[in-house]
Amino acid sequence: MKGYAWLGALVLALLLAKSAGLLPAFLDELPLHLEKSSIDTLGDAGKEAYTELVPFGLILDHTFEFMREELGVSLVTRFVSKRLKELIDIFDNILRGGRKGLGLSAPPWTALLVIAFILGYSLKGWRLALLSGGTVMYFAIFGLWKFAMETLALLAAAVPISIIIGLLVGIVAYRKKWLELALLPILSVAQTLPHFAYLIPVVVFFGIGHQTGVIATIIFAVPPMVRLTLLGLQRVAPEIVEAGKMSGCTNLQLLFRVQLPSARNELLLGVNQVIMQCLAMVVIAAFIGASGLGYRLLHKLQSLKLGQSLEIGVAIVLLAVVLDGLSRAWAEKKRDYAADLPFHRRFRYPILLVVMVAAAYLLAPYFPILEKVPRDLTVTYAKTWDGLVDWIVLNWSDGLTNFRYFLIVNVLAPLRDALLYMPYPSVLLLVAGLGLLLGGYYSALLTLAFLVFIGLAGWWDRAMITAYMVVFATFICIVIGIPVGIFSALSERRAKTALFWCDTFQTFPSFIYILPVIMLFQVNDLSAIMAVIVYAIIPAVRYTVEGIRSIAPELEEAATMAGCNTRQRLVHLQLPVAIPHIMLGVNQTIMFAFSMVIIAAFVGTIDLGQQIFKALSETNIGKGVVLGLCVSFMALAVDHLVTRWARERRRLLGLD
Amino acid sequence: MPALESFVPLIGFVLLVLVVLLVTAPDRRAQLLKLHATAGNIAHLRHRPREALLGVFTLKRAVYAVVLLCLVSYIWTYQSLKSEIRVLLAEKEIEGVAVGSLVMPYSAFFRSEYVADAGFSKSRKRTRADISVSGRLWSGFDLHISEIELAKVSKIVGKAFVFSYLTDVKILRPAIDRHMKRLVRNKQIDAFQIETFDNRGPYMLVVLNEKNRGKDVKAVATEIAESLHTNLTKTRKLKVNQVVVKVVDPEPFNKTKRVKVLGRGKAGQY
Repeated sequence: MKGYAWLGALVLALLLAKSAGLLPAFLDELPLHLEKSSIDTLGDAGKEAYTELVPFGLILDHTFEFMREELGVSLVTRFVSKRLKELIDIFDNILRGGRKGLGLSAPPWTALLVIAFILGYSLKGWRLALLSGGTVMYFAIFGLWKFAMETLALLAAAVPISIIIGLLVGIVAYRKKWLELALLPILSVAQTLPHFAYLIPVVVFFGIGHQTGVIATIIFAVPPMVRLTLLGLQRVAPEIVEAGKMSGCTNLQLLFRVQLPSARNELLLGVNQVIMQCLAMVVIAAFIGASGLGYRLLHKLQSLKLGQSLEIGVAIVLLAVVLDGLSRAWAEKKRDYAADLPFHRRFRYPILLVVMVAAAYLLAPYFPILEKVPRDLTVTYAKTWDGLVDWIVLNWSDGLTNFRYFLIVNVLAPLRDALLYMPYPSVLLLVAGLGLLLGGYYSALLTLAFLVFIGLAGWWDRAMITAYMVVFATFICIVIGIPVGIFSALSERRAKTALFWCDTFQTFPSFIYILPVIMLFQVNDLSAIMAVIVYAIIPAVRYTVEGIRSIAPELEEAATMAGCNTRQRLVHLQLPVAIPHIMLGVNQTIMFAFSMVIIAAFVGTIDLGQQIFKALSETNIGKGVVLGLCVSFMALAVDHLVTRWARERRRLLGLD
Repeated sequence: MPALESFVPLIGFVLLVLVVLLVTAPDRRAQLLKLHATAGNIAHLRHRPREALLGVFTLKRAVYAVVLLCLVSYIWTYQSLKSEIRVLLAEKEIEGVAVGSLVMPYSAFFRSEYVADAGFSKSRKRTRADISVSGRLWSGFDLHISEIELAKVSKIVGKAFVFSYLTDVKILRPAIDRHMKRLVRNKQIDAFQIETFDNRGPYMLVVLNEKNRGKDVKAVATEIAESLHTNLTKTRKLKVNQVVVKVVDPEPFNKTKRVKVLGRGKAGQY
């Protein structure tokens, strides 16, 4: 610690020099936002301009332009786009009927209801059956059938493609070490890149529409599948592989008969992740014209129809919970390979499914209510929620305004200014110091490199605003989340409840979290921070509970035998041992905060998120990708430092 | 419950699916035993000690019950109100209009007076109109739509909505009173009440006299409406488009002023 005190002293000296007005301009701030800029982002004098010290955006623009026009990538993208549109039309036709795709007429809506019931029941019993059946009924009752089916059609097109690509890349990376090494950093960047940053290049190459949404979704959903495929294959015990080889398997037989079946759990977990990521992205892809529930939600949010937005939000949440439940249940379901059952018992549920769907088809002509989603069935709760919002505005308006004013004037603005007007060498030195302290020279250099990229890219000030929002939101998450986690972890029942709710909330697409905060705080930057807090607090609670509950029972026993009371056990045993795990939770909280802060730009911020939105509307590919990388690098810097520290701490505690 | 009749096939189908699932389940015996045990527990609830009874009412169950009650009552009221609005449209002689989404308070099931915002559509034309609702689901709704709101609905039908006369309530009320009191004195009716006014004219509730009760109610109502309409328009030269007379059941009306319409008649053009 003492060895790095000079860095602290330098930071202090710089700050003092700045406050005394002695700091030379080149050390104070980066030459951004010049009146005469080298690159005008909007191509229009007088409008906002920014300067890149190194023109990354321009280089990317030219590269993409070259790829599109000179290399003929646009021909390929156009071809892919067309085929994908046909595929979406087929699924849309299967689910909703119409002249597109296969030209089929719409199936009875009760057929889907039956499928939901039977699928849920066969995978996990009554609860899941009622949940999935109830969700399908919800779509019908609340008049969201058309939009839900559009979303399902997009998912049906995106999920299998993402799984196949992820699986293939994962298998090849497992076989070729060099590819694995090359892929890992790319996957890290891909998983921290904001959702919107994906949309911009996709729009440039593929245009706007359903198919573009699906392409963005596929690109977004592939990385977790690749990672889990790699992990699954690496975890297969060498004895099993050896046994396969000894049985005379060829390479392909070894892969398909031994390794992939052995990695079943991880692969199915990957499928689950792909489905959830696809759903999250399909909602966000509404910004580039993907139809369905997300588009409807966006439309209603933009016209501030909060009641209707909430109904759609609930539909998306239900869909997420059901898809998560079904895919998880599938992953956890154990197949009894040894059982020798007759055909009708082995295929009990597929037979039942066929019979009941046939029954739906047969009964539909006689009972119109079973054929089409009846308009008479629809109800709406929107007025209730609108009334609630009105009531909040009427009764809490003064209190909320005062709270907002207090927070902005006394906390947020000073914090933002502190970061924004801190000389950039101070920030770099602080980060380097942290890197040295937590992970040594490698970490210091890596995190510095990430920050230097942001500085050179010309987005230092915006990045500092993003950083201040993330810092504040993370601080609140820690202050609330960790005590809640500790309180929950002290009893088994509370721990189970907390984990259940964390699981449930984690399935919600991030966009949904914007709804309640708009209801409470209207559209402003405090809403954005609140949305970040609500979303990012989940891992803080979850990891705290898991960290404390996963302490070895013999350690707990030893503490009890030493005569520790509950408080002593918590302070002297549980918290110190659980701290590395809790810090991983804090790390996740920061990652969630970075991801949400960009989405929350939808409700008005002036950070990198807002610029990404702008880049999206201008379809400025270079700017968009550079901005995405800025966010990703900030997140990766924090991720690197925290995971390094946690690993080191676990090693010191002898937990590894 | 006519509003829910159309859902019977759907409810039946869902139950069929659930029953088939239960019957074909590999552990159906265990499930049936569990179901039987639960039913037994519920049946013998009152024989259980108080502490055990309290244990049944957990916070989670209470929340589920409230959510379920809220949803069911809301959907039930919603559908019933929708079918009542269809009747109202038929009464107002507006045809071919579909009733779409309804916006009403979430506590409508428990409230006796509120305004419901109803959506109406005919082919591609859509509109919304406020409908005042009084009464409850179990005692029957009384719906009222103002002329301005009705005009919105008429507009999408393409029906020429002519305000022939605006009903002047101040002038009409004493004239109606005088005429109806004469009918009471002539032993044609026992009691009367002005229900409401709209641009058609007055809506009257009447209790028939003993001597008229055996006759065709609709004919008597039409006769009374015609006499009132003639009196108002021809004798007194007042501006009334139409008179509607509803003959009500005497017993509930005399006791609690509850309206049970036995028949109705009208006179005049609108």
